[in-house]
Amino acid sequence: MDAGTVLSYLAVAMTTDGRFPTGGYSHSHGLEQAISRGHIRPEDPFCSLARWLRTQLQTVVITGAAQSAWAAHHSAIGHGDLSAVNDRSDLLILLDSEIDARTPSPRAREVSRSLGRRLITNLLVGWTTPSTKFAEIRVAPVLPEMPGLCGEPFGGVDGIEGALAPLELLAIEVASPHLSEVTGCFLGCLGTSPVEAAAAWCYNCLVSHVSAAVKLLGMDPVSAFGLLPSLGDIISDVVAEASHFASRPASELPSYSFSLADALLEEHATRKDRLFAS
Amino acid sequence: MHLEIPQGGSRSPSSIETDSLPVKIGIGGPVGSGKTALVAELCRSLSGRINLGVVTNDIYTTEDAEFLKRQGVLSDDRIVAVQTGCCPHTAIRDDISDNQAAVESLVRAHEGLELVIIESGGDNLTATFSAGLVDKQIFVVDVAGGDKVPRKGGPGITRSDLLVINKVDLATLVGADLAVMERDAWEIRQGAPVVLISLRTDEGVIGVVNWVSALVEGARQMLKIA
Repeated sequence: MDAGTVLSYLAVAMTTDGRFPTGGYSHSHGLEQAISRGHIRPEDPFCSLARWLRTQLQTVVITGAAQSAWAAHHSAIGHGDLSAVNDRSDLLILLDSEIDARTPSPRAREVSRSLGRRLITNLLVGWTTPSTKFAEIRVAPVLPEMPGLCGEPFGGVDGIEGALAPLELLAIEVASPHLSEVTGCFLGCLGTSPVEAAAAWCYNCLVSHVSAAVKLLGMDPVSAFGLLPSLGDIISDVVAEASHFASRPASELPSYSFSLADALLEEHATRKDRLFAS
Repeated sequence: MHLEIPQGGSRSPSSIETDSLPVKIGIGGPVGSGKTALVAELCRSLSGRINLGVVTNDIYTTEDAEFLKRQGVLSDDRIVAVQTGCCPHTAIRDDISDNQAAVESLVRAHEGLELVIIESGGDNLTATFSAGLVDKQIFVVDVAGGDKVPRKGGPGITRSDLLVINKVDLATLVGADLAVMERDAWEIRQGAPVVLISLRTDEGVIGVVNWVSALVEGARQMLKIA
């Protein structure tokens, strides 16, 4: 496995690891309110967590996965259609407004931008050196055992150096970009494919719900996380469909919505006794 | 022994170099030990001479923030509540994003802010603040938990910059030996500062107020020199 591929995997691992600090642990994305309102009851198969996750996958998650895949495709180094970083940046700004249009709940937009802002800030701090205008990825801090790479900038101007330029420009152009866009943009910069970006997005969303469910419902964590492989076929379909949109015009991105979840998010935001931020 | 400003080794305020404002102080400790009451007292004593704000972390969104607002110790816009998603220790140590955002919002809203007090949600003896979030941290325990608490140790007790043992007025009622608590605390903390207080009777509280005040004054002086 070459070092570029290793970095690509590392990028996926970091953005899908709940331990990477983005504030995501404090969000249930409407699940807390769904439980409070009786829409999720573990003992009732018609109101199960699995059913909630399926609906999320087929609506909100696939919509976000397509955004991540699109951002990954348009942030990728060596993109055939685009010669300059600024062109990619313009497209990422366009995507920002397209995501707004596909996120009906004001609270969902607020949460997405808040999490996106924190992720992009932490990624740019963590993956760049302060002395460079654009990102210079140094392998040494994370892969010290790899010979020949320690302490050296990885690649050149035409390679990885400056790879995070689209991400940096996104941070400059959009004060608080959406989470799906930041995730996809970062992954694309590091050479991750749109399919992998869509899959990473699906995993992130599902784990957020499952982690919150373990805390709120007292579920057996093994059973709760066991729902993920049981949803494998649906996840596979979602990833395939979402990544299909990666190279289509942004205006064609899907806009499936889950109106109950949107309503629950709005209601949850008005509660004073909530455990989670969303 | 209640010192005017609690001292002890490298964690005395006189030896602490905090050269930027606002100074960020974390206050942690178990549920019911008196964290919110201490924050209220600090605000009451310091708000006239220090430009300050408070971030609360609670099980539910605004319990502690509402308490502080009811106390009238600070204007409402200087108190920000953070939700911790059932993980109070995560919010102050492992993923400090939400608290950082809260501090940033206070800094943006209040020009010249000199002190931000970040109160953790009630947790266990292992809860400590990330150095990325606070400059110094205070850990609050109380005598009602028994006089063995300091001896039990845990990062909250051993690593905090100031250990506060609250509710000394209850010691005789719960059979806690204050001398044992103080001795054990000094031993396990290797001489780092400890102060015994009662927020109900006001005993010893001036020591905490002065300790915090000295940190802010130190930062002011460092900035003047710079």
